[in-house]
Amino acid sequence: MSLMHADQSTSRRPAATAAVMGWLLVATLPGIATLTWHFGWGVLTNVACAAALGVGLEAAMLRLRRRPVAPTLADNSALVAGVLLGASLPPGSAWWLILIGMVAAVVVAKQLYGGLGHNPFNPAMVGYALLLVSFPVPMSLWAAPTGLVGPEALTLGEVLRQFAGLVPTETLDALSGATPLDAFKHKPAGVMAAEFWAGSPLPEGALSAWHQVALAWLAGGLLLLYKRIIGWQIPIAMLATLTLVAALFYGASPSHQGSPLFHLLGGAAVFGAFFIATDPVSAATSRRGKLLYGAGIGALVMLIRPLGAYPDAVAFAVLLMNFAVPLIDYYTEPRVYGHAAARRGIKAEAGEDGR
Amino acid sequence: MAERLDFPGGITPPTRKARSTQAPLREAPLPSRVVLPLAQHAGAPAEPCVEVGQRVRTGEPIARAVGLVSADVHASVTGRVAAIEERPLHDGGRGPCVVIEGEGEDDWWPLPPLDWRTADEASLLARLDGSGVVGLGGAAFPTQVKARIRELHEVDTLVVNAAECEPYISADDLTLRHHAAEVLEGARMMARLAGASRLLVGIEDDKPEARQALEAAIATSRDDEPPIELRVIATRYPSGGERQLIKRLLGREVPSGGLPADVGAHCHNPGTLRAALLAVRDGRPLVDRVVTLTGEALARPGNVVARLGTPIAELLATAGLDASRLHRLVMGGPMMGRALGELALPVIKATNCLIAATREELPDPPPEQPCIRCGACEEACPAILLPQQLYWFARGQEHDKAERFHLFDCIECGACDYVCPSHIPLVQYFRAEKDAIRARRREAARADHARHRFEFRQARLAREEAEKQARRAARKEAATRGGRRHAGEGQAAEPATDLRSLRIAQTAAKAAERKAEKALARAAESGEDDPAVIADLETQLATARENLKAAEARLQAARDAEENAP
Repeated sequence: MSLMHADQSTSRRPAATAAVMGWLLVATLPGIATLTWHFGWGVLTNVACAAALGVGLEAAMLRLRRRPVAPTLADNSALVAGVLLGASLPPGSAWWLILIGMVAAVVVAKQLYGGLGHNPFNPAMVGYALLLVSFPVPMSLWAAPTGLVGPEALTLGEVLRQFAGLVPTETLDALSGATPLDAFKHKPAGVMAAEFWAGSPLPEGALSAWHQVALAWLAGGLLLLYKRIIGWQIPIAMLATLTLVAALFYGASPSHQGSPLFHLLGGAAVFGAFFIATDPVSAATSRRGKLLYGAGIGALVMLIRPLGAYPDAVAFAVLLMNFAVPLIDYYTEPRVYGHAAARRGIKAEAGEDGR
Repeated sequence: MAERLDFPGGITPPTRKARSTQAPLREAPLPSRVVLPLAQHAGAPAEPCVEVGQRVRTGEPIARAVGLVSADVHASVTGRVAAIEERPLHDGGRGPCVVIEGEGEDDWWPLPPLDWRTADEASLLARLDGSGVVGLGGAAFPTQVKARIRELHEVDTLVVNAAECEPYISADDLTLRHHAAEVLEGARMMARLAGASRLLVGIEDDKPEARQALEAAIATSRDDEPPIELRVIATRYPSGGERQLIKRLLGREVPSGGLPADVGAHCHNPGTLRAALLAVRDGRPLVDRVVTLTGEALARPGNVVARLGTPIAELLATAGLDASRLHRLVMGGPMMGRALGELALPVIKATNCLIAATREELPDPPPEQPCIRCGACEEACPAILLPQQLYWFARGQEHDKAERFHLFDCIECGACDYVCPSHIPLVQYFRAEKDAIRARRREAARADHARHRFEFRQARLAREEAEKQARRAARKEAATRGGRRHAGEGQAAEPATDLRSLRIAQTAAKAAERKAEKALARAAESGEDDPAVIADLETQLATARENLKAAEARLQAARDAEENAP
């Protein structure tokens, strides 16, 4: 066994789990900053509350499970789950919504399965999917891109009132605007795509705001790739498949379907590809497995968006592919040195072949 | 080229070799007392052939090899045998050792020099056998056993493994700087024994001095056969792994569970080649070796030629050990070596490097954290395994799955440990899992062995019966023939069974015998150190031989009957 460790050498990839998670947090900064710039203080209250709840709930669960609290918290993974869920929720979500989401993510999806490294499902997406299914109204009230400092921007005080749950839903509804994917999905069937865009049903600047947010996530994702914290396989496979399937839909019916670019940049695809699908714990593990896993997510997203009931589908696609991970792992083992070919899957009777 | 001429993965840790390569190779002072373990090689421990109180000279055999895989041990100083007793060994256990109290003189026990170019192969092999030469790269596999490769395999290329990829170690580097010509001559000798027509030297590019020495030695021996080709490869751990080097130099992949000879290659470490040459050319058995002394706790690091059996403490003292700074003592390299519990242990044939490390240099690993399946280990694995999955199976005691995911193709190089961000000692888990699986197999093997013994008994009884029948038939035949002479026309002897099926049975029995022989030879060659396995294979071979004898007796009887029939 090795007595030396990579922390003794200067490599690009961080050598400790805490540092891996730390870099992940750093990589979310451009995305969160851009979201905040366009959608106001509500993004920051989301992220701060979710992160604090993540750490608090993890600490409480570790104590209940009689595990060492401080060293485990120091791996920063709870913080990451909080930040990712916080960044996914509609800006200015009420505290109880965030709490329910984080309980589902940290307590149920992560700690009840045995903590970091043992969860078969992506914790942040379990929380998100639960909220999306259980609380469709607050989850669809996405704030209009009024900006952080613009004339229509909400002040921090107003956002805190929203956060405290003191603003009635009707008022919130008035303040919110649909996301581009949502609006496009719910356009009347008779309306052509060109008419839809000409009618400009979206709040002013919404589409470009979403594009900028997607590009900011992309910047963070490239940082993760450069630091070798994530492999290229999952994001590239996911985005490529998504583009391909979107192109097929678009090619079949350009008058009614969104363009591939719209699907790439209009929703959570980039964020999902670099920050959600790449969660190594719940993703497939071999390199070829990662390609399959990413492709599966991309395809599912693009099947659910036009055909399913939800305008965006990254959470469901990731969770569905999480189910498939053990199967993918068995069937994508690489060809091991000294073996003529890779074996596929597990035979019912392992037999006595091999050594 | 379709096949990539390289192995995947690998790591580039800091090499930390410069500390021990500044000083030239030097001779360590003659120890006053040596401790020579009888099991310092792969295979069975040697059997002592001296008595307490007996005077022995340097180079005199003190223990003889036992069984198929084993090696002789020789006195490394001149003096009296002070004790033959159990003493602590490097693996933490205890084992028999011969202790020699030196006289301070170095009186050699001479062996006649041999010319390897003219001597016949049998005497060369016998000399290697009698000189206790083993692989000096760390595995200590008996060289003589390895040199018999030709009996079973076609070898076309002999590879001199001068990669020395593990950090800290520079014993091969210094050996080459000082003795490149002898190493190459040894390589030619071993190439002759292996029947190899091609000689490749693989060296990493961080050893320019050794490389120059090799180039000079190759230039001066240009006319000798076979020609030597020097290949400089980029420094990357573990390119000195036999399988990795063969892949990198020849583009061939050693099959899983097989030997390099299965793809026509044969690897030797430079130190081993020189030791083999000295044993043959100068009649000098293996009594010393080059040891790298390094680590921050040493004031004068470097490489020394040390007599086997020298206490490590004595050797480190000559290099200026600061005991207060010593945090960890490692034999071998930091990746695959083992931490030694005490300084009193002796230098053995496998001691290529001793690292006296300070706490800052090789710190205690931080606590293990959960695996997040980040895949860093997978990228580093030179065997293309999925260490993260194997770890999972090892922890869950899922033996079948661990085997199915090729646990036994792990070469335990430690590259995964090195990169793991959760500081999981993966190789430790893999070793424990391999042990658990082997224990399970031993259970199964015991049951098989009982069955094989029963089969042997059955075969022996059948053979005796067949021979008895044959004798009886012969007697009867002789009697009828005699009677026929007198009585003229006799009754026709009936051929007992038809000859054809007996011939087939005999051929099949012969094939079975050959198969059993091969299995035994292969086990011996691959260094099978479990005597139960060898015993079982021997039983199976004996059974096959009994069956063959029985078949031959039956066939012979039938032939006789045929011949004598009208």
